[in-house]
Amino acid sequence: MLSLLEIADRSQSGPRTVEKEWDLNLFKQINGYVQKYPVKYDGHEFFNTDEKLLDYVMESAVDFIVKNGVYCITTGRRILFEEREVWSAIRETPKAVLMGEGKDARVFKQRKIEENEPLGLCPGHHSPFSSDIIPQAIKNFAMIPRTDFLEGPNFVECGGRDISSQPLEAYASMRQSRWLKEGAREAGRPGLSVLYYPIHTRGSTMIAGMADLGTGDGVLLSVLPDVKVEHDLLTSAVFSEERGNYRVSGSFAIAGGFCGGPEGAIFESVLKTLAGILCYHDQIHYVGVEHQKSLNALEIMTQPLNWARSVVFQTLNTKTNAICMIWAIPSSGPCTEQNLWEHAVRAIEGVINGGNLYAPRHVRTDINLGQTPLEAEWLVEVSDAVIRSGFNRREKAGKLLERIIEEKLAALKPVRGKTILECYDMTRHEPKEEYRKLYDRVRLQLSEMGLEL
Amino acid sequence: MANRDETFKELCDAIRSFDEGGVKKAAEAVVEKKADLMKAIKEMSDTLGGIGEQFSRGELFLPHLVMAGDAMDVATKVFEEHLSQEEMSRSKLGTVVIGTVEGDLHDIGLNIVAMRLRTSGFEVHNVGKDASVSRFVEKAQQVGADIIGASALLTVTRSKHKDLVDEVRGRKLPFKVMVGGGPVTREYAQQIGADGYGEDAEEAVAEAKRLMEEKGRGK
Repeated sequence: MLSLLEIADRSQSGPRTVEKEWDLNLFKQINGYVQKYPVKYDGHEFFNTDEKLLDYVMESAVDFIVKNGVYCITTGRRILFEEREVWSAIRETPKAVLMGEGKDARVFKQRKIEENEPLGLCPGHHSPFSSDIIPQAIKNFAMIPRTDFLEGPNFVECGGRDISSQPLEAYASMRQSRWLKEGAREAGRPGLSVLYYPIHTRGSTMIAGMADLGTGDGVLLSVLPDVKVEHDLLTSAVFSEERGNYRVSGSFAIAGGFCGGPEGAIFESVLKTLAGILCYHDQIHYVGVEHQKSLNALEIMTQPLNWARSVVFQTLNTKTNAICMIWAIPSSGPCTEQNLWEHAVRAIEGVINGGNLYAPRHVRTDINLGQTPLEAEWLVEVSDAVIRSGFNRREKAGKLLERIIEEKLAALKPVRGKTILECYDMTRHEPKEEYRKLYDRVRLQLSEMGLEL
Repeated sequence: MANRDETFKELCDAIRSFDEGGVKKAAEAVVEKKADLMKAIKEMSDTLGGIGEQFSRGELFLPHLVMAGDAMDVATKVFEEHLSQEEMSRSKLGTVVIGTVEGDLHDIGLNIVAMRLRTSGFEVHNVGKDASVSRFVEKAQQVGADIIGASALLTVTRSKHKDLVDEVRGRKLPFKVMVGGGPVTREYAQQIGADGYGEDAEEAVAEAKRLMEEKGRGK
């Protein structure tokens, strides 16, 4: 695999390209791949069954990278690759990452399609929490027995001051990492792996956040939409690689953007994953297809996006070593029926598609404290039940998804939900009565659909 | 020989096909026939509005909005030489300078809002991502903007919205300020003294229209 320093060099010597030209060319190229096959949703499938499509998507993604490279927004240049370099990176990226330390060490690995092994879990945060609540919240997420690693929250004030300048960003970043480590210790899991979440992507801020991480910890270094990278994150990649931290990337695509519709978004998600492997040496990726309407539409849970997500996961899980995660990002907040049904859909998809479970949080980043451990535990409970009940085959799972979407989600509207303080008892590590009753009701209804919970 | 409506039809069809060459040819034909250029601009704006609606319904995507906007710009350039400044000013709903605040590299939402404003009849100047307060203000002064629109996706970068509002208010600049993005709420917008807020692209367009009405009433 090419070194990160080689990537830095190439980002300064590749051909200059105006960003808008890159964006429109991305659409033109992806649209060409979509039309040629042609890649088109058949109107019925929840999970792809066309094996040849996976070869086509992978070959097209490599073709794109070889012809166009990856765009660096810092230098306005394209980072170019030879085909052998792309395939070599795909082969050399690890299928498993050793994370954490001592008794809390875990092996986080690539899952296979329709696999029977339990899914890995990162239960939080990747969402805003008031800084006075963060230590207790972290402890609660770390207390979930299935937690493999824990991602940091973001916040707007720290030490009584607004985070509005570089020195405060650096200070807040250091606090985040320390809170994560302290929370893990408080939960009796001192060696639990933590993932630094960049509250700001400035290089100095990122490095401050990584200063207290151990070698079993990681950092989130995501490729930007439209297959773009930049120097602050590349700097952080160099720093984290030297220190032995693993790297995670948000490699999902947003349908409706420059990639085009859901069919085009399949290609962009695979492309972003390859760009993350090549340019940041990312090892774990939360991938898939979301929609630019995701703020206010429960329809993002439904076809053709389920199908598009399955094509992405199937391609990456069968053609690369990338360790994939599903991102449960519901349009409704905690303590709502919608939220639990949306998570159930994602958990079922995760088993079938070969995804691990990642940071369930509300799609709105303006919602403070909008995440509780119950959603993560629910993801685990549903995914375990899917495996146990024999729903881990495409046809059977597809029928279950169809029922959930038709009978439940179709009739519901997105709602903001409640905060962790309103619906979860962090002292007892359990949902408050209202949320418990709601959970029991949804759980019963899902059981009545045939899933043994 | 094509009558006027057919000439406009060719122009609008070329925009719908994102065919800049075809648009230029059709625009030149409109000028040659001494057709009503203000009507031509209205027809083009309606066409662009239709493309924007197709985007909202999920039938077209962001690149289509960009290409249609670029195609209309080609025709507007042809017409510019034949219209007075006052006529050019009347042909648009208003001028918006838009960008993502300093430190924020997320621009998909920004691009969608920018193009929905464009397809709704606003002249839009996109200063891109990671834009400093001074970049917003300088651009707004340069183009004589009515509105500055600022977006943020990161929780910590939303505080830059307040810096922008303070700068505009402090210097008594004649711009309305609109804010939006994932971590921003209407309450937050009100709290920092912004004039407008859009939860999504459609709301941003409605809000920009409302602000232009306010400006028209001298508010």
